[in-house]
Amino acid sequence: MAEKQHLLTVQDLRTYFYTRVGVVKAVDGVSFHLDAGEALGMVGESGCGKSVTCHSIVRLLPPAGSHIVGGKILFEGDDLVQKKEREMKRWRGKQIGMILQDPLVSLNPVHTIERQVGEAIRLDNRRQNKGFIRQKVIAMLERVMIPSAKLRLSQYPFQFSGGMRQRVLAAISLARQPKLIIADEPTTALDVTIQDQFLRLLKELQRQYGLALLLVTHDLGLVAETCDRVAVMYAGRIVETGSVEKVFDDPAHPYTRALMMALPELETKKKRLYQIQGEPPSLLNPPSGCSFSPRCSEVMEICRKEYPPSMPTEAGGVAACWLWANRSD
Amino acid sequence: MSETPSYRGVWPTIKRLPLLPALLLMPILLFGTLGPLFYSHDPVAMNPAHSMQPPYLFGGQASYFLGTDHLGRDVYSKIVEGARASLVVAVTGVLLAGVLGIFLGMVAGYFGGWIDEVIMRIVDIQMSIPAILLTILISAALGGGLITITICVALVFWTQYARIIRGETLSIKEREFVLLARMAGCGTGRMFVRHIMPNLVSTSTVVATLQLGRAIIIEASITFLGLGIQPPKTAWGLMMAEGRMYLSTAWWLPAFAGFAIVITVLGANMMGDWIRDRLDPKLKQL
Amino acid sequence: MLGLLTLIGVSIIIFVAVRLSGDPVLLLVSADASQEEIQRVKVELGLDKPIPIQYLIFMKNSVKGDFGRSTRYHRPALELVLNRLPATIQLALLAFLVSVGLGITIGVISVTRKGSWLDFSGKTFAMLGQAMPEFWIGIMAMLIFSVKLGWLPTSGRGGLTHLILPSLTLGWFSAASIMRLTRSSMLQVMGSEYIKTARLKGNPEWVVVWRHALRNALIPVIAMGGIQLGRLLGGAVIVESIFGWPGLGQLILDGIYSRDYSIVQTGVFVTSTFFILLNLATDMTYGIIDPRIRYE
Repeated sequence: MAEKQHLLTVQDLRTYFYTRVGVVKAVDGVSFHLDAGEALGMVGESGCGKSVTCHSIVRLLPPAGSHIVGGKILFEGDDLVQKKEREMKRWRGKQIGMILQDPLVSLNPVHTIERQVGEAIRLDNRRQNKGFIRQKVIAMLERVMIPSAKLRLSQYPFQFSGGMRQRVLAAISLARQPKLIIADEPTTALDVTIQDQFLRLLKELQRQYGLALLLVTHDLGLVAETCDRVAVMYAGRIVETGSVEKVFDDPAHPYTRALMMALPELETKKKRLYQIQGEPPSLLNPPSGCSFSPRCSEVMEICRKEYPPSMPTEAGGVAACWLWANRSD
Repeated sequence: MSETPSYRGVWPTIKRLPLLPALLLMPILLFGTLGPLFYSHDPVAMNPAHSMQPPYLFGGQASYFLGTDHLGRDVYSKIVEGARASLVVAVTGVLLAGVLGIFLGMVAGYFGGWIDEVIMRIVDIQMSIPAILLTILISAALGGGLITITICVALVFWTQYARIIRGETLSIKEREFVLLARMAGCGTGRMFVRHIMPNLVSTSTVVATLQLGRAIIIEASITFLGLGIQPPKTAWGLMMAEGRMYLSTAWWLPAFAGFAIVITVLGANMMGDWIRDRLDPKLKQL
Repeated sequence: MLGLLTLIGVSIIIFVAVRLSGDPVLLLVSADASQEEIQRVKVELGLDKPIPIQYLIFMKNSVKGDFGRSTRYHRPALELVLNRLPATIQLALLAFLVSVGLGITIGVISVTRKGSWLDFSGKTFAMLGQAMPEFWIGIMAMLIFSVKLGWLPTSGRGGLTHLILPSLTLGWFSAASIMRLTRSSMLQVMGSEYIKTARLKGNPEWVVVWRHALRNALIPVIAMGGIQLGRLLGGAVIVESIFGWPGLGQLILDGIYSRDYSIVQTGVFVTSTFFILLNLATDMTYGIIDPRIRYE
């Protein structure tokens, strides 16, 4: 029986970086899917490959030395991995929008805000005059809650605060009404007080536009608040997926469990925060077998020899762990 | 699907060594220092009987490989002999410029205030006069010759040193070890010698090597105009000036001297780039 | 204003240098002139007074527009200099356009086709260009295009054909420098996050390169442009000498050979003034291109 087609299906994506010292397997077999109206949170430590996955989807990897060496990225059925660079502009902006991490450097310093947002709008409204575009820009800026939008049109990015710049980026990514928005750590560079505001805005816009949202972050709290499903990444692979409620409540994978234990709680008075012992593995020379095995408290013999398969869990997703594989047999 | 790129192995390592620049610089270094060993004919002796011979490959004699000039002198020998003049002027000139520029730049950056203002104002003023015009003026003032042109080179290039070294000194000045030394009561002279100058070495070296090529060009240009090294001394610029009059009949007179200049400057520039990439890539804007 | 101070400083340097270069009087009188004769000429030229006084007189006169008379042509120096200035400006301007146009274009092509043979040729052009002094290019170009091929004239000022060789010769070196800077600046800019944003909007590649990247990459290139103008003004002397271009550079050079103080002084002074003005213009261009500077 054929499955209903997802908006975005990533199958076994592999993105490697070729450096002077060796091959870095930044993304080594990542699979997940996303539907319209859904919010998927992608979490993991720094360097686990979340950002590279996002850049791979829109094919914005740095040109020198990095390549998608395998897998498929199916957007409404089209495999983006097979598309040539000059074809990609059909999907970027119009179908898939992306909010980059650092608002400080993500906006062109020598163009006005009107021009930057207007450029995106103009790509869909080529024959319209300046006045028409301007109205749309103002509408867009107001949508992302930028006060006195009209006055700010002729200003430059350096005249905006960090939070406002991030909203401008959100406006730019939504301007062409794409079906999917990827937010790559959108709040990491913001003050804590502004983070909340921005995420609520994002959630509201998702609801308004009926978007699919892929939220990449290392902050589990954000995922809990904003997302329907979660995918946990470790060392270039996804170790667990599922609904946010169930995964947070009863994680299947030891790594996810360790992450939950490391979350500071307000209720119980713990003296020390839990720390996962050991360090993330080098992606140059990943250990054989399960990549989490050196740090896993429940490691078994087989974990060191073979990488576990992804088996379905009760949370509606999958987990890649020998414990789980044995359980479901 | 994107292709897997292949590794290059040995090639990157070889590429890292500055082989090509070294090769290009070899002639001027050898000729400049060991000159007379390399030629068989006296570059100065006039030999009217053999004048205006074309190069060997164009119908001339083997013993006059690159031809002879209007006075019968062997072009190849003259090129070897002329290397010394250019080498001496460029190296000495840049060194002198360095001494002056580093000193003034350091002083300006360290003390700041009116000293900085005055020195930088002088730099600005001098840089408002195009280099060649300045050299023309000075060589006219002091008369031509090797020493004059060396002084000219020094005076042209010290300003660039001063600006860059001043910038470097400004940032070094704020570093912790300098503040600590000052708190420990370190005197100014000692401060310069033991703390600041050692940190200026790499930048100074980069600037010096990048300027060598330009120095050779300026020296050759001024000599070409007749205001630099004077006859009967042998110099590449002179060969080109003399040869210019015979362009239609004896093209080899200016051509080979010119090649010598270009190859040398090319080698100096490439070497300068290589040194800069290894020591201080921030200076890429030069 | 600072520019004025600089001008005064420049004039002092020129004045001192020229005065040191020897006595013009001896060139003007016949070989066996008497002492009184020499003294008379000296007084006539005002050379009997001490140098600082001479300078003050010079400054006083120059404000009135009197820069002295050429001892060779017997006409006011300023008039002669201004007569020749347009020719040099024409040459330098054309050379500048050549170097900017060629340099930026090759630089951008080199970046967008990084790694290809176009990139390699571009980089080679830059390396060679910076190694070739103006007089060599001039002579070689003359050799190939005028002497051997006979396509272009060797000297003089006239129609378009007379302009080609001199301006290309003069602009070559600058083109190479500008190309290198454009290339490295573009490479740096192309790796920026905001370029990613530009792509993420769905812009075609050429828009990303020309509308977004180049505008930012040109900022340091403008600074270099200012420096290059200075080099062009200096290099004009040599190019004019080789191609017989009747410009200011050649006038100054002749002045040096014939010890014509006024001409040399005035010529170098006017050139420097021009250069200073051009630098001011460059600074203003900065403000147009980079809004961050405007608001400081």
